[in-house]
Amino acid sequence: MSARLWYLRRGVAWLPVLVGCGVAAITALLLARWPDAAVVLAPALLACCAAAAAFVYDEDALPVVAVTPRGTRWRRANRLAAALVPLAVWAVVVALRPGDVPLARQGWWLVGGAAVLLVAGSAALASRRLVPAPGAALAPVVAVAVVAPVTFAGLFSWGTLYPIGDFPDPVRTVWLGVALSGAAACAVALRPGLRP
Amino acid sequence: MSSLSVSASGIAGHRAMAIIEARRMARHPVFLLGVVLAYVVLALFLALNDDEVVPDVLTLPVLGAFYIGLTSVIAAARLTRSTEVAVEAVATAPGTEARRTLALAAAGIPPLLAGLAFSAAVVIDAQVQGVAAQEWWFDTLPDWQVWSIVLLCPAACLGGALLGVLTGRWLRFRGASAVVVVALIVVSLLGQVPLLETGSSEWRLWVPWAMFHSGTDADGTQTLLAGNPGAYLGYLLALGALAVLAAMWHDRTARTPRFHTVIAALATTALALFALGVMTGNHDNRVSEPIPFKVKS
Repeated sequence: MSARLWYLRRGVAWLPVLVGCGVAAITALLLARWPDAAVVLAPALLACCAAAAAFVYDEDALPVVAVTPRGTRWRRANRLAAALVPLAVWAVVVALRPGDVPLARQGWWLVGGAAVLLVAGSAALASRRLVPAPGAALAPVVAVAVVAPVTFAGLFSWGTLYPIGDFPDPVRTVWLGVALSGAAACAVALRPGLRP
Repeated sequence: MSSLSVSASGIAGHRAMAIIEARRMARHPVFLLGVVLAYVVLALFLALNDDEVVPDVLTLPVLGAFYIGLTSVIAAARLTRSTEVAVEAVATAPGTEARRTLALAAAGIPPLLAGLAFSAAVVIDAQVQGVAAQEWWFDTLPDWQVWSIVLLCPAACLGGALLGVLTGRWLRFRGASAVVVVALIVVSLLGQVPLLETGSSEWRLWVPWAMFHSGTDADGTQTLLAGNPGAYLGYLLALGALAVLAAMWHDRTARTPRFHTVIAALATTALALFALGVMTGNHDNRVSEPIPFKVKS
């Protein structure tokens, strides 16, 4: 365990991960102040947490460490644990419900878990393909992608992927699909070996 | 080899550098993804529309601004940062960082054109399919107001790219463009939403993307928000130009008294346009007649 913690402490690019979590915390404060804007602020908060998870596989010396005896599977599996930090921030915010926004806790925990899992899995896949710092490219794209469904809400009669109040079953199904995709990405990425 | 044929100074050299940057932007996958998404969402909206006319036309520019504008922030920031890996070699080449930054501003041309095409698609479709008689459009608003609101889309797309250049020059931490994207969304929202229903909604116009159309409410009416859209369009363009100058200011050799004068003049212009936007145009929110088939019982 100590070797894993030592590796995570030294190996993970904590600065961008913590910057993402910090911006998420600021957004949570804004949500507490302006709960009426939750329709956009809650997805923006999710975007911060998901974007933070994109950096857990950043490793500038990847071509070197990829061929060490410890093995790439051990390294990638342990780095996945670093994604628990932005996930924990999300879980705490949803549990606290800033501004008394009526977020259905279980549904929104699923939303955060699915988004973070998919982003971390995508970053792990990029790492498996020897991309040293996938976070720089992935994080901003994730930020836009997470907020993008908000633009659908006023245009289409599909409802929203970010329901405030009740959490409908179709929305739960969509997010379960996202979670499954993330789990599949992680499973593929955690297989031993490299795919340059 | 092409870089060797570029003259070190003068208009021709700058034009060659600008064309290179515009081409890099036009081929950037994030930018292309944003353009495709903007058109796909617009096409879906029009295809799934059950009404015989196009509804809420003046809200549609937000789609282009969101997808093309925000992805342009990311793409332009990455283009700007991409030259940093070769900064030692580039620094020995003729020309200054400020000149390279000015050339990078040409990366805003593809988003501008994509935004113009998006706005043209919206206008053409509204003309072909028609709009409700009560809709805020050419029959119910002065032409210059409609054109100004429609052209906010390309202005925002251009501004997104220029903000990306500014981000790439000044913010060096990983994920800086992600923070800027989230900040843009949050500031645009919180800077205007609390004011929309008040008697001073025109003060929302300081934000980088201000709404002018509320969409259709449950009673079938639409609200046109106060303020002068023409002046706001100028304000957005001035903000974009300020972003370029602020990015060029990163180069210490560019900080001449003349350059400072230009920045001060442009900032004054932006403030004047903001003041014009607030004080002229529609002084209050205007509510349309209800659109009969949009009234929800």
